[in-house]
Amino acid sequence: MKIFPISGNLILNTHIHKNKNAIETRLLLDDQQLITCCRKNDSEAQKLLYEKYAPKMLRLCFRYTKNELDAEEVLISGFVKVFQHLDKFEYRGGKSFEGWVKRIMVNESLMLLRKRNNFNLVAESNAEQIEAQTYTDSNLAAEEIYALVLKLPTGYRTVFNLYAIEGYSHKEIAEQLNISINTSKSQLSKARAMLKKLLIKNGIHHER
Amino acid sequence: MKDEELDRLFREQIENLDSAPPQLNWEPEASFQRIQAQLKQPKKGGGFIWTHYLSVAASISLLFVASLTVFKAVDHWKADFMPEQAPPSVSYSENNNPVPNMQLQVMSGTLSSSAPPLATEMQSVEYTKQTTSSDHYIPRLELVNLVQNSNPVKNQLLHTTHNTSEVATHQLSYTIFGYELFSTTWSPEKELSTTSSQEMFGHTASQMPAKKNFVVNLGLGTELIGSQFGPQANIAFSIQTENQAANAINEWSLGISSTALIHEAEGQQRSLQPATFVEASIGKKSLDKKTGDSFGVGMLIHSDNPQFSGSTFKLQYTKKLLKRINISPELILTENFKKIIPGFKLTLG
Repeated sequence: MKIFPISGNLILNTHIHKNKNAIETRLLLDDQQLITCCRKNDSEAQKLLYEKYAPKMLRLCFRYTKNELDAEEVLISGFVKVFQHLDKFEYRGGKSFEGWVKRIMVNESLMLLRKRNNFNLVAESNAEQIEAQTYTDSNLAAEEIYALVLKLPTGYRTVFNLYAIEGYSHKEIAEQLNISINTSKSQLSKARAMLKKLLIKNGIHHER
Repeated sequence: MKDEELDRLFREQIENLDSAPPQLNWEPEASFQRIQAQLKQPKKGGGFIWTHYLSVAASISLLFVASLTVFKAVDHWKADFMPEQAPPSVSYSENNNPVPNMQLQVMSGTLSSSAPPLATEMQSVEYTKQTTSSDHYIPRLELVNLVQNSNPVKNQLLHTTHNTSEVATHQLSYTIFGYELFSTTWSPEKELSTTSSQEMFGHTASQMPAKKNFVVNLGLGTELIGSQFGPQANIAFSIQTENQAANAINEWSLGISSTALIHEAEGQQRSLQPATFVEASIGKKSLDKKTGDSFGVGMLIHSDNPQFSGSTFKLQYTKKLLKRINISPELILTENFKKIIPGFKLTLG
Protein backbone atom coordinates (compact mmCIF):
# COMPACT_ATOMS: atom_id res chain seq x y z
CA MET A 1 0.00 0.00 0.00
CA LYS A 2 1.41 3.38 -1.04
CA ILE A 3 0.37 6.60 0.57
CA PHE A 4 0.76 9.82 -1.38
CA PRO A 5 0.64 12.99 0.68
CA ILE A 6 -1.39 15.64 -1.11
CA SER A 7 -1.97 19.04 0.41
CA GLY A 8 -2.17 17.65 3.88
CA ASN A 9 -4.57 14.86 2.91
CA LEU A 10 -3.63 11.26 2.41
CA ILE A 11 -4.79 9.47 -0.66
CA LEU A 12 -4.63 5.73 -0.64
CA ASN A 13 -3.09 4.51 -3.81
CA THR A 14 -4.11 0.90 -3.49
CA HIS A 15 -4.40 -0.93 -6.79
CA ILE A 16 -4.29 2.38 -8.49
CA HIS A 17 -4.81 1.09 -12.00
CA LYS A 18 -7.66 -1.24 -11.19
CA ASN A 19 -9.45 1.00 -8.81
CA LYS A 20 -12.39 3.01 -10.09
CA ASN A 21 -10.89 6.08 -8.52
CA ALA A 22 -7.62 5.72 -10.37
CA ILE A 23 -8.34 8.49 -12.85
CA GLU A 24 -9.40 10.79 -10.08
CA THR A 25 -6.25 9.97 -8.13
CA ARG A 26 -4.06 10.69 -11.14
CA LEU A 27 -5.69 14.06 -11.59
CA LEU A 28 -5.07 14.90 -7.97
CA LEU A 29 -1.37 14.09 -8.17
CA ASP A 30 0.53 16.96 -9.67
CA ASP A 31 3.95 16.80 -11.25
CA GLN A 32 5.79 17.78 -8.11
CA GLN A 33 4.24 15.02 -6.05
CA LEU A 34 4.84 12.45 -8.76
CA ILE A 35 8.45 13.58 -9.08
CA THR A 36 8.97 13.25 -5.34
CA CYS A 37 7.67 9.67 -5.46
CA CYS A 38 9.66 8.86 -8.62
CA ARG A 39 12.84 9.99 -6.90
CA LYS A 40 12.22 7.23 -4.38
CA ASN A 41 12.13 4.79 -7.31
CA ASP A 42 8.40 4.26 -6.93
CA SER A 43 7.50 2.38 -10.11
CA GLU A 44 3.80 3.23 -9.82
CA ALA A 45 4.56 6.92 -9.71
CA GLN A 46 6.93 6.43 -12.64
CA LYS A 47 4.13 4.81 -14.58
CA LEU A 48 1.73 7.65 -13.80
CA LEU A 49 4.29 10.17 -14.97
CA TYR A 50 4.98 8.11 -18.07
CA GLU A 51 1.30 7.77 -18.93
CA LYS A 52 0.83 11.48 -18.53
CA TYR A 53 3.60 12.53 -20.89
CA ALA A 54 4.47 9.59 -23.13
CA PRO A 55 1.81 10.12 -25.85
CA LYS A 56 2.76 13.76 -26.32
CA MET A 57 6.46 12.94 -26.25
CA LEU A 58 6.05 10.12 -28.74
CA ARG A 59 4.43 12.60 -31.06
CA LEU A 60 7.39 14.94 -30.56
CA CYS A 61 9.90 12.15 -31.27
CA PHE A 62 7.99 11.07 -34.36
CA ARG A 63 7.96 14.67 -35.61
CA TYR A 64 11.78 14.49 -35.66
CA THR A 65 12.45 10.89 -36.65
CA LYS A 66 9.45 10.25 -38.94
CA ASN A 67 9.89 6.57 -38.20
CA GLU A 68 7.77 4.64 -35.72
CA LEU A 69 10.47 2.33 -34.42
CA ASP A 70 12.98 5.14 -34.08
CA ALA A 71 10.44 7.34 -32.32
CA GLU A 72 9.69 4.58 -29.82
CA GLU A 73 13.39 3.93 -29.20
CA VAL A 74 13.99 7.61 -28.61
CA LEU A 75 10.97 7.77 -26.29
CA ILE A 76 12.27 4.85 -24.22
CA SER A 77 15.83 6.12 -23.95
CA GLY A 78 14.46 9.58 -23.17
CA PHE A 79 12.28 8.34 -20.31
CA VAL A 80 15.14 6.27 -18.92
CA LYS A 81 17.18 9.48 -18.76
CA VAL A 82 14.28 11.37 -17.25
CA PHE A 83 13.98 8.87 -14.39
CA GLN A 84 17.73 8.50 -13.93
CA HIS A 85 18.36 12.24 -13.78
CA LEU A 86 15.24 13.31 -11.97
CA ASP A 87 17.37 14.33 -8.99
CA LYS A 88 18.96 17.03 -11.14
CA PHE A 89 15.63 18.54 -12.08
CA GLU A 90 14.49 21.55 -10.09
CA TYR A 91 10.72 21.96 -10.10
CA ARG A 92 9.67 25.55 -10.76
CA GLY A 93 5.95 25.07 -11.12
CA GLY A 94 3.75 25.32 -14.18
CA LYS A 95 5.00 23.39 -17.17
CA SER A 96 8.62 23.33 -16.04
CA PHE A 97 8.70 19.55 -15.87
CA GLU A 98 7.09 19.12 -19.28
CA GLY A 99 9.61 21.56 -20.71
CA TRP A 100 12.48 19.59 -19.17
CA VAL A 101 11.18 16.27 -20.51
CA LYS A 102 10.69 17.85 -23.95
CA ARG A 103 14.28 19.06 -23.93
CA ILE A 104 15.51 15.56 -23.16
CA MET A 105 13.36 14.06 -25.92
CA VAL A 106 14.56 16.66 -28.43
CA ASN A 107 18.18 15.98 -27.50
CA GLU A 108 17.67 12.23 -27.83
CA SER A 109 15.99 12.71 -31.21
CA LEU A 110 18.80 14.93 -32.43
CA MET A 111 21.35 12.40 -31.25
CA LEU A 112 19.72 9.78 -33.43
CA LEU A 113 19.40 12.14 -36.38
CA ARG A 114 23.02 13.23 -36.11
CA LYS A 115 24.10 9.61 -36.41
CA ARG A 116 22.12 9.16 -39.58
CA ASN A 117 22.16 12.52 -41.32
CA ASN A 118 24.58 15.12 -42.42
CA PHE A 119 22.61 18.31 -42.05
CA ASN A 120 24.97 20.16 -44.35
CA LEU A 121 24.06 17.91 -47.26
CA VAL A 122 20.32 18.13 -47.35
CA ALA A 123 19.07 17.83 -50.87
CA GLU A 124 16.18 20.05 -51.76
CA SER A 125 13.25 17.98 -52.79
CA ASN A 126 9.70 18.66 -53.70
CA ALA A 127 7.21 18.18 -50.98
CA GLU A 128 5.33 14.97 -51.22
CA GLN A 129 1.66 15.00 -51.83
CA ILE A 130 -0.30 14.54 -48.67
CA GLU A 131 -2.62 11.66 -48.93
CA ALA A 132 -6.15 12.38 -47.98
CA GLN A 133 -6.72 11.27 -44.42
CA THR A 134 -9.84 11.17 -42.40
CA TYR A 135 -9.75 12.26 -38.83
CA THR A 136 -12.62 11.61 -36.56
CA ASP A 137 -11.73 13.86 -33.69
CA SER A 138 -11.90 17.57 -33.33
CA ASN A 139 -8.19 18.06 -33.99
CA LEU A 140 -8.60 17.81 -37.73
CA ALA A 141 -6.65 20.91 -38.62
CA ALA A 142 -3.99 20.19 -36.02
CA GLU A 143 -3.46 16.65 -37.28
CA GLU A 144 -3.24 17.87 -40.86
CA ILE A 145 -0.71 20.50 -39.90
CA TYR A 146 1.30 17.91 -38.00
CA ALA A 147 1.24 15.70 -41.11
CA LEU A 148 2.52 18.57 -43.23
CA VAL A 149 5.62 18.89 -41.06
CA LEU A 150 6.33 15.22 -41.62
CA LYS A 151 6.39 15.85 -45.35
CA LEU A 152 9.42 18.08 -45.10
CA PRO A 153 12.88 16.65 -45.87
CA THR A 154 14.85 15.74 -42.74
CA GLY A 155 17.07 18.85 -42.66
CA TYR A 156 14.23 21.31 -43.24
CA ARG A 157 12.01 19.48 -40.81
CA THR A 158 14.62 19.40 -38.06
CA VAL A 159 15.47 23.09 -38.35
CA PHE A 160 11.76 24.05 -38.58
CA ASN A 161 10.91 21.90 -35.55
CA LEU A 162 13.72 23.37 -33.49
CA TYR A 163 13.16 26.99 -34.48
CA ALA A 164 9.40 27.35 -34.94
CA ILE A 165 8.04 24.74 -32.53
CA GLU A 166 10.69 24.39 -29.81
CA GLY A 167 11.90 27.98 -29.93
CA TYR A 168 15.63 27.41 -30.38
CA SER A 169 17.76 30.21 -31.80
CA HIS A 170 19.74 29.78 -35.01
CA LYS A 171 22.93 29.78 -32.94
CA GLU A 172 21.66 26.90 -30.81
CA ILE A 173 20.48 25.01 -33.88
CA ALA A 174 23.85 25.50 -35.54
CA GLU A 175 25.60 24.09 -32.48
CA GLN A 176 23.22 21.16 -32.12
CA LEU A 177 23.35 20.12 -35.77
CA ASN A 178 26.95 21.09 -36.37
CA ILE A 179 26.03 23.44 -39.20
CA SER A 180 26.57 27.15 -39.77
CA ILE A 181 24.04 29.74 -38.68
CA ASN A 182 23.51 30.67 -42.33
CA THR A 183 22.73 27.05 -43.22
CA SER A 184 20.19 26.99 -40.40
CA LYS A 185 18.56 30.20 -41.65
CA SER A 186 18.54 28.98 -45.22
CA GLN A 187 16.94 25.66 -44.32
CA LEU A 188 14.31 27.37 -42.21
CA SER A 189 13.47 29.69 -45.07
CA LYS A 190 13.12 26.77 -47.47
CA ALA A 191 11.04 24.83 -44.97
CA ARG A 192 8.64 27.75 -44.55
CA ALA A 193 8.32 28.20 -48.31
CA MET A 194 7.54 24.53 -48.72
CA LEU A 195 4.98 24.54 -45.91
CA LYS A 196 3.20 27.55 -47.41
CA LYS A 197 2.91 25.72 -50.72
CA LEU A 198 1.66 22.62 -48.97
CA LEU A 199 -0.94 24.56 -47.02
CA ILE A 200 -2.34 26.06 -50.21
CA LYS A 201 -2.09 22.81 -52.13
CA ASN A 202 -4.02 20.91 -49.48
CA GLY A 203 -6.55 23.62 -48.95
CA ILE A 204 -5.89 23.98 -45.25
CA HIS A 205 -7.11 27.33 -44.13
CA HIS A 206 -6.50 28.51 -40.67
CA GLU A 207 -8.82 31.15 -39.35
CA ARG A 208 -7.55 33.15 -36.45
CA MET B 1 1.04 34.53 -44.68
CA LYS B 2 4.02 35.98 -42.90
CA ASP B 3 6.79 33.76 -41.56
CA GLU B 4 5.97 34.57 -37.93
CA GLU B 5 2.28 33.75 -38.51
CA LEU B 6 3.21 30.47 -40.11
CA ASP B 7 5.46 29.57 -37.20
CA ARG B 8 2.78 30.48 -34.67
CA LEU B 9 0.13 28.48 -36.53
CA PHE B 10 2.25 25.35 -36.54
CA ARG B 11 3.44 25.81 -32.96
CA GLU B 12 -0.03 26.33 -31.52
CA GLN B 13 -1.66 23.53 -33.48
CA ILE B 14 1.08 21.01 -32.76
CA GLU B 15 1.33 21.88 -29.07
CA ASN B 16 -2.38 21.23 -28.69
CA LEU B 17 -1.91 17.61 -29.72
CA ASP B 18 -1.61 15.55 -26.57
CA SER B 19 -2.34 12.12 -27.97
CA ALA B 20 0.02 9.74 -29.75
CA PRO B 21 0.03 10.05 -33.56
CA PRO B 22 -2.92 8.04 -34.88
CA GLN B 23 -0.85 6.48 -37.65
CA LEU B 24 1.40 4.69 -35.12
CA ASN B 25 0.73 1.25 -33.77
CA TRP B 26 2.19 2.04 -30.38
CA GLU B 27 1.79 -0.07 -27.26
CA PRO B 28 2.43 2.13 -24.25
CA GLU B 29 2.56 -0.74 -21.74
CA ALA B 30 5.26 -2.57 -23.69
CA SER B 31 7.34 0.60 -23.90
CA PHE B 32 6.99 1.16 -20.15
CA GLN B 33 8.12 -2.39 -19.45
CA ARG B 34 11.24 -1.73 -21.51
CA ILE B 35 11.89 1.48 -19.59
CA GLN B 36 11.55 -0.38 -16.30
CA ALA B 37 13.91 -3.10 -17.51
CA GLN B 38 16.52 -0.52 -18.46
CA LEU B 39 16.16 1.27 -15.14
CA LYS B 40 16.79 -1.96 -13.27
CA GLN B 41 20.08 -2.50 -15.07
CA PRO B 42 23.14 -1.27 -13.19
CA LYS B 43 23.66 2.38 -13.89
CA LYS B 44 26.32 2.86 -16.54
CA GLY B 45 27.43 6.16 -15.04
CA GLY B 46 28.19 4.65 -11.64
CA GLY B 47 30.18 1.84 -13.17
CA PHE B 48 32.07 4.30 -15.26
CA ILE B 49 32.99 6.38 -12.23
CA TRP B 50 34.64 3.44 -10.51
CA THR B 51 36.24 2.23 -13.72
CA HIS B 52 37.56 5.73 -14.25
CA TYR B 53 38.97 5.95 -10.74
CA LEU B 54 40.45 2.47 -10.86
CA SER B 55 42.15 3.16 -14.17
CA VAL B 56 43.50 6.51 -12.97
CA ALA B 57 44.74 4.94 -9.73
CA ALA B 58 46.29 2.01 -11.60
CA SER B 59 48.01 4.32 -14.10
CA ILE B 60 49.40 6.55 -11.35
CA SER B 61 50.62 3.58 -9.33
CA LEU B 62 52.17 2.00 -12.40
CA LEU B 63 53.99 5.20 -13.35
CA PHE B 64 55.13 5.66 -9.78
CA VAL B 65 56.46 2.13 -9.41
CA ALA B 66 57.97 2.07 -12.91
CA SER B 67 59.90 5.29 -12.45
CA LEU B 68 60.93 4.20 -8.96
CA THR B 69 62.26 0.93 -10.34
CA VAL B 70 64.09 2.59 -13.21
CA PHE B 71 65.85 5.14 -11.02
CA LYS B 72 66.67 2.56 -8.39
CA ALA B 73 68.13 0.31 -11.08
CA VAL B 74 70.17 3.17 -12.50
CA ASP B 75 71.39 3.96 -9.02
CA HIS B 76 72.53 0.39 -8.47
CA TRP B 77 74.09 0.23 -11.90
CA LYS B 78 76.07 3.38 -11.19
CA ALA B 79 77.23 2.00 -7.86
CA ASP B 80 78.29 -1.32 -9.37
CA PHE B 81 79.87 -0.35 -12.66
CA MET B 82 80.81 3.30 -12.67
CA PRO B 83 84.38 4.10 -11.61
CA GLU B 84 84.71 6.26 -8.57
CA GLN B 85 84.98 9.91 -9.32
CA ALA B 86 88.38 11.45 -9.22
CA PRO B 87 89.02 13.62 -6.20
CA PRO B 88 88.83 17.32 -6.78
CA SER B 89 91.98 18.86 -8.15
CA VAL B 90 92.11 21.33 -5.33
CA SER B 91 92.57 19.89 -1.93
CA TYR B 92 94.24 20.56 1.34
CA SER B 93 97.24 18.51 0.45
CA GLU B 94 98.06 20.67 -2.55
CA ASN B 95 98.57 23.74 -0.46
CA ASN B 96 101.20 23.28 2.13
CA ASN B 97 101.02 26.85 3.27
CA PRO B 98 97.97 27.10 5.38
CA VAL B 99 97.04 30.63 6.14
CA PRO B 100 97.79 31.27 9.76
CA ASN B 101 95.24 33.06 11.79
CA MET B 102 97.66 35.88 12.28
CA GLN B 103 97.68 36.53 8.56
CA LEU B 104 93.94 36.71 8.47
CA GLN B 105 93.92 39.16 11.29
CA VAL B 106 96.53 41.26 9.56
CA MET B 107 94.58 41.12 6.36
CA SER B 108 91.36 42.21 7.96
CA GLY B 109 93.20 45.00 9.64
CA THR B 110 94.69 46.26 6.41
CA LEU B 111 91.43 46.28 4.55
CA SER B 112 89.70 49.57 4.24
CA SER B 113 86.60 50.12 6.29
CA SER B 114 84.43 49.88 3.19
CA ALA B 115 85.63 46.40 2.40
CA PRO B 116 83.50 43.54 3.63
CA PRO B 117 84.78 42.26 6.94
CA LEU B 118 86.24 38.82 7.28
CA ALA B 119 85.79 37.78 3.72
CA THR B 120 87.53 34.55 4.49
CA GLU B 121 84.70 33.43 6.70
CA MET B 122 82.22 34.21 4.00
CA GLN B 123 84.27 32.23 1.54
CA SER B 124 84.47 29.20 3.68
CA VAL B 125 80.75 29.34 4.41
CA GLU B 126 79.91 29.55 0.73
CA TYR B 127 82.05 26.60 -0.13
CA THR B 128 80.64 24.50 2.62
CA LYS B 129 77.17 25.05 1.30
CA GLN B 130 77.89 24.67 -2.35
CA THR B 131 80.30 21.81 -2.56
CA THR B 132 80.31 18.24 -1.55
CA SER B 133 83.76 16.95 -2.18
CA SER B 134 85.90 19.74 -0.83
CA ASP B 135 83.85 21.15 1.93
CA HIS B 136 86.74 22.77 3.74
CA TYR B 137 88.50 24.19 0.78
CA ILE B 138 89.72 27.73 1.22
CA PRO B 139 91.41 29.42 -1.72
CA ARG B 140 94.51 30.35 0.18
CA LEU B 141 96.48 31.51 -2.81
CA GLU B 142 94.28 34.52 -3.32
CA LEU B 143 94.34 35.33 0.35
CA VAL B 144 98.06 35.32 0.30
CA ASN B 145 98.08 37.58 -2.74
CA LEU B 146 95.66 39.85 -1.06
CA VAL B 147 97.75 40.14 2.03
CA GLN B 148 100.89 40.66 0.01
CA ASN B 149 99.35 43.43 -2.01
CA SER B 150 97.76 44.98 1.07
CA ASN B 151 95.43 46.93 -1.14
CA PRO B 152 91.82 47.62 -0.33
CA VAL B 153 89.69 45.09 -2.14
CA LYS B 154 86.79 47.39 -2.72
CA ASN B 155 85.97 47.67 -6.45
CA GLN B 156 88.89 45.45 -7.25
CA LEU B 157 88.41 42.46 -9.44
CA LEU B 158 90.85 39.64 -9.20
CA HIS B 159 90.49 37.62 -12.35
CA THR B 160 92.11 34.54 -11.06
CA THR B 161 89.79 31.65 -11.87
CA HIS B 162 89.44 28.43 -10.04
CA ASN B 163 88.82 25.43 -12.18
CA THR B 164 87.97 22.64 -9.90
CA SER B 165 85.87 19.56 -10.18
CA GLU B 166 83.25 20.84 -7.80
CA VAL B 167 79.90 19.26 -8.44
CA ALA B 168 76.37 19.79 -7.27
CA THR B 169 74.30 16.94 -5.96
CA HIS B 170 70.82 16.47 -7.38
CA GLN B 171 68.18 14.42 -5.72
CA LEU B 172 65.08 12.59 -6.89
CA SER B 173 62.59 11.90 -4.15
CA TYR B 174 59.36 9.98 -4.04
CA THR B 175 57.01 11.16 -1.38
CA ILE B 176 53.57 10.15 -0.21
CA PHE B 177 51.62 12.83 1.63
CA GLY B 178 54.90 14.68 2.06
CA TYR B 179 56.72 11.76 3.69
CA GLU B 180 59.79 10.63 1.79
CA LEU B 181 59.48 7.09 0.57
CA PHE B 182 62.68 6.78 -1.37
CA SER B 183 65.31 9.07 -2.80
CA THR B 184 68.31 8.79 -5.02
CA THR B 185 71.11 11.28 -5.62
CA TRP B 186 73.50 11.88 -8.46
CA SER B 187 76.22 14.38 -9.24
CA PRO B 188 76.49 15.50 -12.83
CA GLU B 189 80.02 16.46 -13.88
CA LYS B 190 80.05 20.22 -14.13
CA GLU B 191 83.09 22.37 -13.91
CA LEU B 192 82.97 25.02 -11.28
CA SER B 193 84.26 28.37 -12.35
CA THR B 194 84.29 31.37 -10.07
CA THR B 195 86.42 34.40 -9.83
CA SER B 196 88.17 35.01 -6.59
CA SER B 197 86.57 38.44 -6.17
CA GLN B 198 83.16 36.85 -6.28
CA GLU B 199 84.28 34.35 -3.70
CA MET B 200 85.64 37.10 -1.53
CA PHE B 201 82.32 38.88 -1.48
CA GLY B 202 80.37 35.73 -1.06
CA HIS B 203 78.68 36.15 -4.43
CA THR B 204 79.43 32.72 -5.68
CA ALA B 205 75.97 31.19 -5.53
CA SER B 206 74.96 32.20 -9.01
CA GLN B 207 78.10 30.73 -10.47
CA MET B 208 77.94 27.49 -8.59
CA PRO B 209 75.99 24.54 -9.96
CA ALA B 210 72.68 24.80 -8.13
CA LYS B 211 71.37 21.82 -6.26
CA LYS B 212 68.15 20.55 -7.81
CA ASN B 213 65.55 18.34 -6.23
CA PHE B 214 63.12 16.41 -8.36
CA VAL B 215 60.12 15.32 -6.36
CA VAL B 216 57.28 12.99 -7.30
CA ASN B 217 54.57 13.42 -4.72
CA LEU B 218 51.30 11.64 -4.13
CA GLY B 219 48.92 13.82 -2.16
CA LEU B 220 45.54 13.39 -0.59
CA GLY B 221 43.00 15.86 0.67
CA THR B 222 39.50 17.19 0.46
CA GLU B 223 38.04 19.80 -1.84
CA LEU B 224 34.93 21.96 -1.78
CA ILE B 225 33.72 23.24 -5.15
CA GLY B 226 30.57 25.34 -5.06
CA SER B 227 28.23 23.48 -2.74
CA GLN B 228 29.77 20.05 -3.25
CA PHE B 229 32.78 18.51 -1.62
CA GLY B 230 34.62 15.24 -1.77
CA PRO B 231 37.94 13.45 -1.39
CA GLN B 232 40.76 14.54 -3.59
CA ALA B 233 43.92 12.78 -4.79
CA ASN B 234 46.78 14.23 -6.74
CA ILE B 235 50.12 13.35 -8.22
CA ALA B 236 52.66 16.01 -9.08
CA PHE B 237 56.16 16.19 -10.46
CA SER B 238 58.14 19.12 -9.07
CA ILE B 239 61.49 20.64 -9.75
CA GLN B 240 62.97 22.48 -6.78
CA THR B 241 66.05 24.64 -6.79
CA GLU B 242 67.58 25.85 -3.60
CA ASN B 243 68.30 29.54 -3.46
CA GLN B 244 70.72 29.79 -0.56
CA ALA B 245 71.00 33.53 -0.78
CA ALA B 246 67.23 33.98 -0.37
CA ASN B 247 66.99 31.12 2.09
CA ALA B 248 64.24 29.67 -0.07
CA ILE B 249 63.36 26.93 -2.49
CA ASN B 250 61.86 27.78 -5.85
CA GLU B 251 59.46 25.18 -7.10
CA TRP B 252 57.83 24.43 -10.45
CA SER B 253 55.21 21.76 -10.45
CA LEU B 254 53.03 19.87 -12.94
CA GLY B 255 50.44 17.32 -11.94
CA ILE B 256 46.98 15.84 -12.08
CA SER B 257 44.35 16.17 -9.39
CA SER B 258 41.07 14.35 -9.24
CA THR B 259 38.20 15.09 -6.88
CA ALA B 260 35.21 12.80 -6.36
CA LEU B 261 32.52 15.36 -5.65
CA ILE B 262 29.68 13.95 -3.61
CA HIS B 263 26.34 14.82 -5.17
CA GLU B 264 23.27 14.35 -3.03
CA ALA B 265 19.84 15.18 -4.37
CA GLU B 266 16.61 15.18 -2.45
CA GLY B 267 15.39 11.63 -1.93
CA GLN B 268 18.26 10.14 -3.88
CA GLN B 269 21.28 8.13 -2.97
CA ARG B 270 24.59 9.92 -2.91
CA SER B 271 26.61 9.66 -6.06
CA LEU B 272 30.26 10.41 -6.78
CA GLN B 273 30.94 12.71 -9.69
CA PRO B 274 34.61 13.01 -10.53
CA ALA B 275 36.34 16.16 -11.71
CA THR B 276 39.90 15.77 -12.96
CA PHE B 277 42.21 18.72 -13.58
CA VAL B 278 45.69 18.95 -14.99
CA GLU B 279 47.52 21.57 -12.96
CA ALA B 280 50.69 23.64 -13.14
CA SER B 281 52.06 25.86 -10.41
CA ILE B 282 55.01 27.99 -9.48
CA GLY B 283 55.94 28.87 -5.95
CA LYS B 284 58.47 29.43 -3.26
CA LYS B 285 58.97 27.76 0.09
CA SER B 286 61.39 28.11 2.95
CA LEU B 287 64.42 25.85 3.17
CA ASP B 288 62.85 23.94 6.03
CA LYS B 289 59.72 23.57 3.84
CA LYS B 290 57.47 24.68 6.68
CA THR B 291 56.18 27.82 5.01
CA GLY B 292 55.61 28.80 1.44
CA ASP B 293 53.09 29.72 -1.16
CA SER B 294 52.39 29.11 -4.80
CA PHE B 295 50.11 30.14 -7.62
CA GLY B 296 48.68 27.62 -10.00
CA VAL B 297 46.38 27.17 -12.98
CA GLY B 298 44.45 24.08 -13.96
CA MET B 299 42.36 22.80 -16.82
CA LEU B 300 39.46 20.37 -16.48
CA ILE B 301 40.11 17.25 -18.52
CA HIS B 302 37.22 15.10 -17.34
CA SER B 303 34.08 15.58 -15.30
CA ASP B 304 30.68 14.01 -14.77
CA ASN B 305 29.66 16.84 -12.50
CA PRO B 306 26.87 19.09 -13.83
CA GLN B 307 28.52 22.13 -12.23
CA PHE B 308 31.01 22.16 -15.08
CA SER B 309 30.26 22.64 -18.74
CA GLY B 310 32.21 23.94 -21.70
CA SER B 311 35.83 24.92 -21.19
CA THR B 312 36.68 24.89 -17.51
CA PHE B 313 39.80 26.28 -15.88
CA LYS B 314 40.89 26.98 -12.33
CA LEU B 315 43.11 29.51 -10.61
CA GLN B 316 44.47 28.64 -7.22
CA TYR B 317 46.66 30.04 -4.51
CA THR B 318 48.26 27.55 -2.16
CA LYS B 319 49.55 28.43 1.27
CA LYS B 320 51.66 25.98 3.21
CA LEU B 321 50.52 25.95 6.79
CA LEU B 322 52.75 23.27 8.17
CA LYS B 323 55.36 21.11 6.53
CA ARG B 324 52.78 18.78 5.05
CA ILE B 325 49.49 20.68 5.19
CA ASN B 326 48.39 23.04 2.44
CA ILE B 327 45.29 25.16 2.01
CA SER B 328 44.22 26.44 -1.40
CA PRO B 329 41.44 28.91 -2.08
CA GLU B 330 40.52 28.64 -5.74
CA LEU B 331 38.29 30.00 -8.46
CA ILE B 332 36.86 27.70 -11.10
CA LEU B 333 35.89 29.36 -14.37
CA THR B 334 33.40 27.26 -16.27
CA GLU B 335 30.81 27.50 -19.07
CA ASN B 336 33.49 29.03 -21.30
CA PHE B 337 34.42 31.66 -18.66
CA LYS B 338 30.80 32.72 -18.16
CA LYS B 339 30.48 31.32 -14.65
CA ILE B 340 32.82 31.45 -11.66
CA ILE B 341 32.59 28.91 -8.86
CA PRO B 342 34.60 29.39 -5.67
CA GLY B 343 36.44 26.45 -4.21
CA PHE B 344 38.64 25.49 -1.31
CA LYS B 345 41.12 22.66 -0.97
CA LEU B 346 42.91 21.17 1.99
CA THR B 347 45.69 18.77 1.08
CA LEU B 348 48.24 16.63 2.79
CA GLY B 349 51.51 16.30 0.97
